[in-house]
Amino acid sequence: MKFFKNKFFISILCIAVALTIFSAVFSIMGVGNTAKNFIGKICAPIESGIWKMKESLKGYSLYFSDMDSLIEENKQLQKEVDELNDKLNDSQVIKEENDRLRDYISVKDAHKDFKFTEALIIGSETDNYMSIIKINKGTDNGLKINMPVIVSTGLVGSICEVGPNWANIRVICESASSVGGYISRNGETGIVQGDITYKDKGICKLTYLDMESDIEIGDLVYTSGSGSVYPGGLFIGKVASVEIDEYTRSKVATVECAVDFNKLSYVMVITDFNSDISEGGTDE
Amino acid sequence: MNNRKNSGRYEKRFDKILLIRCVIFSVIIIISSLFEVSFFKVFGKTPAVVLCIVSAVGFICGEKAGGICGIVGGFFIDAVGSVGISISPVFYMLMGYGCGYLLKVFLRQNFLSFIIYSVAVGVLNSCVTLGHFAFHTKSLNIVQIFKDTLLPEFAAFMMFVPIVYFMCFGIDKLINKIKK
Repeated sequence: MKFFKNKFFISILCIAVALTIFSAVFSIMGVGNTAKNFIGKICAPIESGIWKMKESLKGYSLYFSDMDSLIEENKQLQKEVDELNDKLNDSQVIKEENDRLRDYISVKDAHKDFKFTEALIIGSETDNYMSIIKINKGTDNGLKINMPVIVSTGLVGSICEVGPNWANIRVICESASSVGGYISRNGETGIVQGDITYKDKGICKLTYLDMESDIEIGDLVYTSGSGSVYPGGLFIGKVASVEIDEYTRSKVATVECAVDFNKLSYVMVITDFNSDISEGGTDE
Repeated sequence: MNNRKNSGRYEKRFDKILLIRCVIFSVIIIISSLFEVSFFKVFGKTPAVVLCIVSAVGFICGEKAGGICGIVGGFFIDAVGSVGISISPVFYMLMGYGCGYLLKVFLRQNFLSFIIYSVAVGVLNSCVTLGHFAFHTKSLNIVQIFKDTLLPEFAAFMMFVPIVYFMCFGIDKLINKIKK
């Protein structure tokens, strides 16, 4: 076919395949991709600005709910409305920062052995098959792969990829994610895993539970601290349902994550923790 | 409408007008990819705006421009928004080049043809997403994936087709005017 004999097509196909193979090889080897790091370093501040712009535009939707009255009012009160909008935006920014700092302090008080780095969310994945969150801090700020990420309400996930000033976080609902968990009421342990069926609803599965294990709807699930990636005692969520898996002859529970992944603005990356102090326990 | 067809639309050598088109559309693609990562979420999914732009460039400017912009777009979208192994440079290049080539073979250059081609590109993009799911997940519930991911992704992609087509058409017209 003439299509495949075209020299230009063959040359650009070779270039595209070479780029794909190099990226794939670097990804499989776990070595940082130089080009990706370089582009990410330049683009992270821009992405941060775009994300902030998107967040600020959310508030303006309210002003378009009653166009007729706004148009009439706009003729007489335009200046006053603009001034009030500016004051509202300033106070909203201050309030959000106040709430964020209050959350930060509450987490610090609850986990005195943790060392945190706060990070702003600047983007998300483009492929739609993975739940990945991008933040504006990276190796320059001491971040590494597998560092756990939390917010005041609970566990978000862990870092799966990191650059100089950016990092990607794999959330706990993602099917490739697994966390050691335990039920605070009675200490029953299991593995909290993401599931593709429930990923978009913010629900995980608690697996490897014995048939005799005592689990009820509403039980609170925390990280057990096993595996040394996640410290113990981080809140994951509540048990939403309990089922019996006929094939494995074990119980499987669905856990509704405490964190709403669609509404995150800031996260805290745990850069260091004392695993001896952070062992899990029951609340009996 | 078919001035380029009559005057030898498909350049046989790399000339200035092709270079200008590639540079301008590459800049647009880079800016769009940053917005795609940080700004857009339609029906809960990220729309493949860059893929739409690459297809439009191939359709309007020819297979060479489409192929080059496809490589740039695929590489950049991989760098800023993808995790792990991705075939975006190859896929985007093939879509951009293929669009321009198909125009030579049997499509006519009008909006309806672009819609038809975009549907095919959208379906192929969904197939690639399905392939990613198959590669990364243990159990594959196709009905669930189709309902939750593929269909919203396709709908979000098609939403941008008219906007992108007329934007690229306008820019190409402007380039031709400046060139003259």
